[in-house]
Amino acid sequence: MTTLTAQNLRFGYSPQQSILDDWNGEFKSGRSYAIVGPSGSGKSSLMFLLGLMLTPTSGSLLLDGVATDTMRDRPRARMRANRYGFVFQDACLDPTRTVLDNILQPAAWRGVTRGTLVESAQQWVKRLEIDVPLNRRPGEVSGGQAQRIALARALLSSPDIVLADEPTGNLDSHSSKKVIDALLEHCASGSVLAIVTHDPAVAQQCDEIVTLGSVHGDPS
Amino acid sequence: MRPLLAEALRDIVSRRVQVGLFVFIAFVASAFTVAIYGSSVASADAALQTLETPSARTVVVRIDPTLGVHANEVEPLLRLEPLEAAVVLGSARSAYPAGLPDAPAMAIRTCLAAAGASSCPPVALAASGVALDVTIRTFNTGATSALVVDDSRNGYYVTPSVAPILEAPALADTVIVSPSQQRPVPIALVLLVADSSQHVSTIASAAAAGLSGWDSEKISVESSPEIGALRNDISDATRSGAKFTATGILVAMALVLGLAELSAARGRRQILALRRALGASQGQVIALAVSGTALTVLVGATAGALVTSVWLPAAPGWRFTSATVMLVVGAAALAALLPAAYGATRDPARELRVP
Repeated sequence: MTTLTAQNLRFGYSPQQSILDDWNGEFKSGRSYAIVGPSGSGKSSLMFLLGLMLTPTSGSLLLDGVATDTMRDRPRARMRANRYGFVFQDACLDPTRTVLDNILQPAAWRGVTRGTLVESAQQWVKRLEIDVPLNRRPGEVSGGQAQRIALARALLSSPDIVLADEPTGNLDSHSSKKVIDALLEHCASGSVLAIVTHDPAVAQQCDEIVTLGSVHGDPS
Repeated sequence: MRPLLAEALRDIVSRRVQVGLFVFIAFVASAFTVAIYGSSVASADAALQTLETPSARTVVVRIDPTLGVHANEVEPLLRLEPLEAAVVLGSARSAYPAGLPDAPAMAIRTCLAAAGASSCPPVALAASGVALDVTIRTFNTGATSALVVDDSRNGYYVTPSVAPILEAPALADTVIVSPSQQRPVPIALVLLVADSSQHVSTIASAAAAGLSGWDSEKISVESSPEIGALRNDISDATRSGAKFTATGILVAMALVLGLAELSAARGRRQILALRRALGASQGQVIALAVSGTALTVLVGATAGALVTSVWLPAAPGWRFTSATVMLVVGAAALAALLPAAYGATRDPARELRVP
């Protein structure tokens, strides 16, 4: 049972400009959450905060009751490697590596030898109908295939928490359905799923919708 | 550790152009360092070798015969390390107070223990004066002998047998005195031949210390201080020049590699941020970058050092060659640290966000 709890979370890229103000929320395993709101409302920032890639200005983020915001870089990185799966808006694959290398890359950060995961990676490729030779480079696959490769990378180790930032933003309806179905299926097996989305159809498929209200401007 | 090393190797394979450039730079740096430093040191060593004449390496201990120092009392001097040979000379006047018709003024009693002679040779008589030069020579009889040159530039062989004299009839001045004529005589001169000019001062100090119990007014220890100084001058000048050049090459290489790494890291910001997002710690990102550079440079530097070592006429030893490779790799790893730190601190939230 995994629980991710945000307590009075406050975050901003500068002291004058706060993106999240005393935000509270709880994410539980087996439940899917759609994070919605207008552009600039802090959806992606919240996802990066929940993914331990940003540190809140104040407040706490508890993973199974353990405060993560005061942790040093190494345990936070280990937590990301062992318990999280990420799907980014534009797939974010390493263009210098093959498809298989991309799917297996998180294993290196977990200290797992690739050999034990190759078969599992091939199963995910088949299951998600990626349908490209595994020795291809990301530049040689379509956008939809790239996003499904990213999905295979995120789900390969059956993470406790899956965070997806606009995972269907650039996809056709067929690819979108495949991606969302796979994410929801994984969530049903007992993981936390949080999807940042603008798509009401995607939001409707989630168990809960988290709405971030006001616009705070471009963080960059 | 193994998955990380495997990841470093995959990184190397996936960046062929950059890796090729790094191998080439390391090859050139290593080859030039070995060529310049190695050949300079080899030349200096060759020059120093020419200074290694026995006269330059000889410590002369003059003892006033009236002191009555006997051979057994100077024997500890013959065991000083590192000695190539030692010659103990007595006064002929002491040995033959009545004098010998046309006899040289000095009787020579030698002990060539350090040169491997199995027994003390008989007494040889030579002209008066102080020996200036000693050369150790082995005749084909297997007997080890010493050539002693006096003030008048006359040369005398001191030998345990007459065979070498018969082989060298030109040495007519050498007088062999049969063992029956020997008698204990006070020592007048001890010649200590160091194995290298480097050790002359050590031997001289030890000899002076060994005779400190005697009247210092009547004993003098002379050596050629210039040889040591000259040796140091040549060695220092050559090595410091070569070190300066080699350091320059290493610094230039490190700068080029560092800038290339930094440029590559800037171009790969998103990839590095992605690694951080997927669970790589800052330490892992740095270790991956530094080990990748070190492995690449190790290949280039080893190739450069080996090729140059084979090609150089006076190749430096394997220690120098391997030390050069290690230095090049170390400098490259240091140069890779800053760009690696830059890559490790990329913020995934900024780099992976779609505008």
